[in-house]
Amino acid sequence: MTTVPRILVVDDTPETRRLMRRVLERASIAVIEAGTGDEGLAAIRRDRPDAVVLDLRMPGMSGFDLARAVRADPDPAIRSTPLLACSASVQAEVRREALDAGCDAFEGKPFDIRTFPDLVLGLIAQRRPR
Amino acid sequence: MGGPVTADGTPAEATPETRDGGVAPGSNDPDRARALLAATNAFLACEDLDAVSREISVAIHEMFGSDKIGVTISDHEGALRLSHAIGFSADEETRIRSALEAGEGSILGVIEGEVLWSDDPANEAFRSRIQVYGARAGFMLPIIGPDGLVGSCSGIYLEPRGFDAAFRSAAQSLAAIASTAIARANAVGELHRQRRRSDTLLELSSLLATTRDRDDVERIVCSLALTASGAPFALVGRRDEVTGGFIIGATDGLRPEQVAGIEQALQASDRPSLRQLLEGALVTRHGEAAVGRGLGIGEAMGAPIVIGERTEGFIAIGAPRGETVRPADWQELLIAFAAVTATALARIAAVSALARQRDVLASEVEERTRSLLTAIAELRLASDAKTDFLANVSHELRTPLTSILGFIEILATGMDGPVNDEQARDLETVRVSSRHLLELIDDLIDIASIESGRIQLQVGPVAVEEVVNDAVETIRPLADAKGVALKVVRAVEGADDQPILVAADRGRLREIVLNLLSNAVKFTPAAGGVVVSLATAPAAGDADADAVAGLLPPRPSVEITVRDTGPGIEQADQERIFEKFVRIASEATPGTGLGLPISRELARLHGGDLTVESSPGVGSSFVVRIPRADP
Repeated sequence: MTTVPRILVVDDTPETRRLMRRVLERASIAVIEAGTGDEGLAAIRRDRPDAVVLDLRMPGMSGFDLARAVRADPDPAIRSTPLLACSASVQAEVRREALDAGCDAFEGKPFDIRTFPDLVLGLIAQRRPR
Repeated sequence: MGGPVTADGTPAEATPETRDGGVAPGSNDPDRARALLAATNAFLACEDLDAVSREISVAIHEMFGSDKIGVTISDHEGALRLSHAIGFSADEETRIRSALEAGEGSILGVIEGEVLWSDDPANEAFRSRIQVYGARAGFMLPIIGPDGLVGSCSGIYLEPRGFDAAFRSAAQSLAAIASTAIARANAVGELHRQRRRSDTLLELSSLLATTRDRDDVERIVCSLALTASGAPFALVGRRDEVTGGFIIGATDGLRPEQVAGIEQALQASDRPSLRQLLEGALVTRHGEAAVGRGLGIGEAMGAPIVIGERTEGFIAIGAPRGETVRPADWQELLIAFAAVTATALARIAAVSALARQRDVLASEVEERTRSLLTAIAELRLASDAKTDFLANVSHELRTPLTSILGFIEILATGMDGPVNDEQARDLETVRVSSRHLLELIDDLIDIASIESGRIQLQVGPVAVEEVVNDAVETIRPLADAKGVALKVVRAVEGADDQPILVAADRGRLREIVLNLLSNAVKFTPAAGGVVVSLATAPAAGDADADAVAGLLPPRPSVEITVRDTGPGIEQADQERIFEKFVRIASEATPGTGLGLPISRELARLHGGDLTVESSPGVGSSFVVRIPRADP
């Protein structure tokens, strides 16, 4: 882990990406953005972020698919990337499906901006090989 | 001389001396008397006409020493047929048979009951007839039964001789006893036939009682009719529903070409015999007349199988042309068989009608079930669509709310620079309104999930006090801020140290209690109080809830009561508050109007209920009843 953690935010809503960037940068976390699942997967393989915050319902590759693709990646370093699902679909079954797809945690939207950075940093700290 | 000898029907053991119409063989011929007695005893052992005929021949031989002896028995048509002969050559026997067929008995007067003695001047015809067989003397006596001629017995002599009174008397005695013997043999035969027939009918009835199929019935009837009648062939016909005529159901003892011929005859239903059967009449006639020439069928008899008023088929038995048959015996048998068969067929028809009716009902049930399932599936689709729609709405509304609430927070925390008091209050208003909008969305999703039956409780044993205390502590800051006292009272009998376990979804139970607490604090003015009490309730509960729970035995439960000192609720409004979007309180108190309906639905999903008691101006008590966990 570099001194400044780098987080990839994958979300198809620009306002949400901007909010997350503001909140995370405020906590001294570097942010990379991706607007689709495909871009997100490419960014993960290219930039190797320390963790990913991913939306679930996106056009094209969904967050579920993205999580599964990461967890099935041949590269162990990619495969073990911490994933935080953050979705406005807060039903229990969506939460369960996200965890089943390989996400490490789930946070509903709207999220609490005061606790959000710690949530992400916690996942990085708990990273485990996969 | 020569009046008819009549049998008196007395048993054969009667002594010859007492016999009517005859004189005892006479003391001058004790050998004849002994021979007659021996014959009488021998007749007792005879079970059939062949045996009787043989014994008559033997008696003639013993008593009268005739050179050639012939005994005839009447057939069912009254014609005499040679049944036993002694001393005749094969050619002579054949000649006798054809002479009898040609009606010689009639020519000679025996059939009319005349006794023929060759030494009677009036019997010239008889004298010349027996010369054909080389005889110079002879006699021929009719054997007369109660209903007329049953046979004859004759003896002829190669040498000329006369017949004295003693001879004639002894001969007539023998004829009388022979008549009795024939009657007895006939009775024995009839008895056997009757016994066989009733055995067969019993067998037929019991076989048919368990037969379900018309083909099987016809096959069994056919085969048993053959056995019982002794007829060479049997046939069962059935009514053809299409043509109204007959078709063959089963046959036994017929060659394939005969079956085919009969089939053709049945199709040409213009034959009188078939019409008679269709009209329900018994038919006896020569087979050629009944079914057609060239089939080699002789005598045949058919009985209609009548169900109700309608001929549904027939049973026929018959013999190839030239064979001797006894249709008189068949008639009764056929009628009985037809009756038993009709009963069996009627039963089968009734059973299959019932089965058809049952099938119709079953398919109707199936049809109704299918349309119900379709309706349910459609409803579920609609419900799913509604749920999906609401889930989408929730998602779409939450997404902008995320940035609204997030950026309000960013502004409020001063991340983007200092905020003055007025701006801070403005931001707080936006924040509260946005939060309210969010709650509304959550409640809508909840109520939609409950209504569509998509909500699934994760029920397990839950320590109810933990949940209540947790909810109380969550609400306490709100109560404190408002100056409302908040306390928990435990009113549970017995074991204080034991946790009270309820069968509940912990999260949902917490949601209910939180909702009630937040309402109570919301409506209770400053310096008022909110008391949460816990009590175990007996099995008896709310009648409605029990009805909802169905036939499950009532379960003991726990009651969580949240009592406030708020304004109370008018009696008329006490049920309305559980309706969706109904808000009774003043506009000053915020809320979605969905909290109580959701809480009640959730309580009922647990098998419990949520009820209210309230006195306006005093306060309200909301009671949640949740079943206890099984120990």
